[in-house]
Amino acid sequence: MNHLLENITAVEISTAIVDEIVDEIFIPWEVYQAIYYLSRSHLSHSGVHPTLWSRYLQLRRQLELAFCLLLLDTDSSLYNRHLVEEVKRDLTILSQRNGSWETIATRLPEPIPDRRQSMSKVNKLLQERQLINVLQQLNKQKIALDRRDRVLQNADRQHNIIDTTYAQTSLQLNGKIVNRYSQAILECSDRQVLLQLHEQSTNTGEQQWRSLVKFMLSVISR
Amino acid sequence: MNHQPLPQTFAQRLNESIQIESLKINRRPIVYRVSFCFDPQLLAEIEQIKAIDAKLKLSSKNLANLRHYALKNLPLAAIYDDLGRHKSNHNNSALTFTTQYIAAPDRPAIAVLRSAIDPEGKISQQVRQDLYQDTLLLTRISQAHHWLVLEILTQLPLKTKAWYSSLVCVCFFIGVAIACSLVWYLIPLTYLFKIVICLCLIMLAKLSFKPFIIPKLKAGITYHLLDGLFAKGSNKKKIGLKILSFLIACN
Repeated sequence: MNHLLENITAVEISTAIVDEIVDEIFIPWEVYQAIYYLSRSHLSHSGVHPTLWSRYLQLRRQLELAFCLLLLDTDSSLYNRHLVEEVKRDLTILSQRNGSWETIATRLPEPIPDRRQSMSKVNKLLQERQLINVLQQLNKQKIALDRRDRVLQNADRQHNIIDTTYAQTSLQLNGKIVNRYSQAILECSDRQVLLQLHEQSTNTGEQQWRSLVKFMLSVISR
Repeated sequence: MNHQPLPQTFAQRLNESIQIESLKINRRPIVYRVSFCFDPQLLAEIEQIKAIDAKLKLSSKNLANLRHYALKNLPLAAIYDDLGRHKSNHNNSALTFTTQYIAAPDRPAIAVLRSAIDPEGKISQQVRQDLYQDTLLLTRISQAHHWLVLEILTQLPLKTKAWYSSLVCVCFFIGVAIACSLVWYLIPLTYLFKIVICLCLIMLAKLSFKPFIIPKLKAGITYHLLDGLFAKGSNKKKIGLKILSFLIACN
């Protein structure tokens, strides 16, 4: 609990107008599969906007990196002392953001449902809490990238605020309040309504979060 | 500030509009959102309630289910470490509240507003495009949505009463008394040894009660609320949460 509270430096409230509200259900296996298959050929085949390729590939690199760190973690059930030296060599390449990591062979098990051995490896991997946390973060990034891709694919919507976060407010513990707005909002005729909506979200969002923290404290405080 | 209670029928209708939605993943039900279903009448009622500054009292079933949903999404790794159960299947993610609106009885419910509140301080709001084009309705729905979310979240913290801790202490010392009686009647030792053992037992229990036994019991009950005995069914959740509030009172 203390660790969690130490990590919170700001409350961040963002508001977006969307075409449709879609539930973002986190299913680890599906997220693993979606990120595992990210590659240049896959992105090209899927018609993803080329400006986003490097950001999608970073997700794949981060997954590979998280797995390698688990292989080196003595507390993990995936720890393999025979692979330590090899993995350490790969780790230096995987830590770099350039494309050189794409040349090394993947250690991640392939998520193919009809291969029992491979699937049991994936299931074992998905029992690791550390990896689940990484997958959750990668999933959030992927959802944002997918949304951005939809905007870029549709030339008419590039200067539109739909499907992008148009306003974000960060209430920092050091007292600073940082507001960020999408450039497109300046061109909106109804920007006053949008700003009011965000202001309302900010005011209530902060109170809502505070109530959630009170609940956490009521459960965990020792 | 004195808050007026809601008329029974309003409170019932509002409670009925709160749905905790789940789907089965790997044969386990996973709650993925809390949804509110508003129609023009309910929206008008909420505005009246807000105008008189009344408070919504969640039904005990809703409260237990909502607390359970929140508990499932808290980062409780520290408690699991106490028990050595690292491989729980719960995820800490954002609590999601979605408002659906039925414009007319013959029209389907459409998700128009969504708030995702992450325990780590990230809050995201999504508004459906159609709603944002109707400014008046947008204001009414967003105010009702935020009011209801806040009403729910302010009622989540577990409540304790002064006598809870006394009751837990009494139960604990009854347990110690039983242990001492067993030592006294079952162990074939001289009186002196029996007295020494009983005194040691009482001392040990007193020293370990708050720093060791209570945290372990809390971790155990929390584990059973998430994945064990108290994880299914509103009544079991209510029992688990009640035991947890008794233990919390001993902090």
